[in-house]
Amino acid sequence: MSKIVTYGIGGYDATKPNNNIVEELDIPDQETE
Amino acid sequence: MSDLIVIQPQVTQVTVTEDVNNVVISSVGVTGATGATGATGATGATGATGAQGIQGIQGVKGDTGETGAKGNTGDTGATGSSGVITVNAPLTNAGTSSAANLSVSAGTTSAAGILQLTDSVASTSTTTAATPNAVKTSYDLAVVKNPIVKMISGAYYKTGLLSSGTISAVNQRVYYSPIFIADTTTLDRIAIRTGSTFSGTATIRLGIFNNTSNQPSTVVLDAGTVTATAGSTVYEITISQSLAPGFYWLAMCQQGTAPGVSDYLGNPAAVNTANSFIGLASGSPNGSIIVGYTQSSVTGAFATATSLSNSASVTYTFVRVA
Repeated sequence: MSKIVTYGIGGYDATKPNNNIVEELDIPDQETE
Repeated sequence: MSDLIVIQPQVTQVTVTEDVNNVVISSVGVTGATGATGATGATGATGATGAQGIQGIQGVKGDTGETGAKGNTGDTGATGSSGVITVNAPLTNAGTSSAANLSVSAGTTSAAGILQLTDSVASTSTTTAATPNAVKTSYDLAVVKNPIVKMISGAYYKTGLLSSGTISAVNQRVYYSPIFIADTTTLDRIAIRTGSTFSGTATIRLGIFNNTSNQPSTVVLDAGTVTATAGSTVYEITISQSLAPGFYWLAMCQQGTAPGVSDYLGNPAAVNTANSFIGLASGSPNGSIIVGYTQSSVTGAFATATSLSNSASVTYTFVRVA
């Protein structure tokens, strides 16, 4: 299981709620390292 | 004849007997119902004529009358001045100003004029023009020979035909990996993925660069930064970037204070790779495989790429198609 952390347009922004992170989603692994 | 009338207490019948002329009222019945109304009498005689009424309103305007007869012809006007014919290209005049003989010059690549149409799709003429039929013939052939592979909406893409592994990024070094866009495409995410061994906190800047002479050049998009704090995690930025067909360079750069372990998904050196359009590191088949470019000591926002080094190892930057 891995995770996707999605920022809004502009990326990290300390002035926006949650530093502009708009979504955090757990996903199954699809690519091997 | 007797005048005798005998009235009995209850009369139900009156009998007159001719012989004795007696009227015997045996009894008198109850008064019957009122009979039906009789028929209407005849109409009375016509009354006298009334007084004259008020005058009515004016009537609607009548139709237009017929056109009158033609007038007489006027006097002859004064004689005008002599005319001069002036022609401009592509018109030409082989006659005189008073007896013109006009024609249109043939067109060339440097002068406007009339052109002969042709259905040819093989002609190299520069003085004829293709018909829509010739254009369609060429278009149909191009579609068959050069089908456009469209990227799939919602799918992530990275540089193609390279192996997948984990590499350790150098802090403040931009890793450029090439990507080919076959058709005009809008991207809605740009991302990196930390390796399972990543630790610490890192600031990673993501962007897209134009391609010039098979190398990164000007900035198409500086998407901003993400803050990575965990391994095996995709960190992505929402974007809205349309790209015309062509080669581009996806870029990531770990900036600020380096984390404990800077491992990201990428193409490790010496792992099986398929060469991209870049070419080998040297001018011979013995040259090492180049999978991308790097640029050191980059802090802050992206600027035009410079001081590039070819590399057999790059971290991957991903984009998602809108």
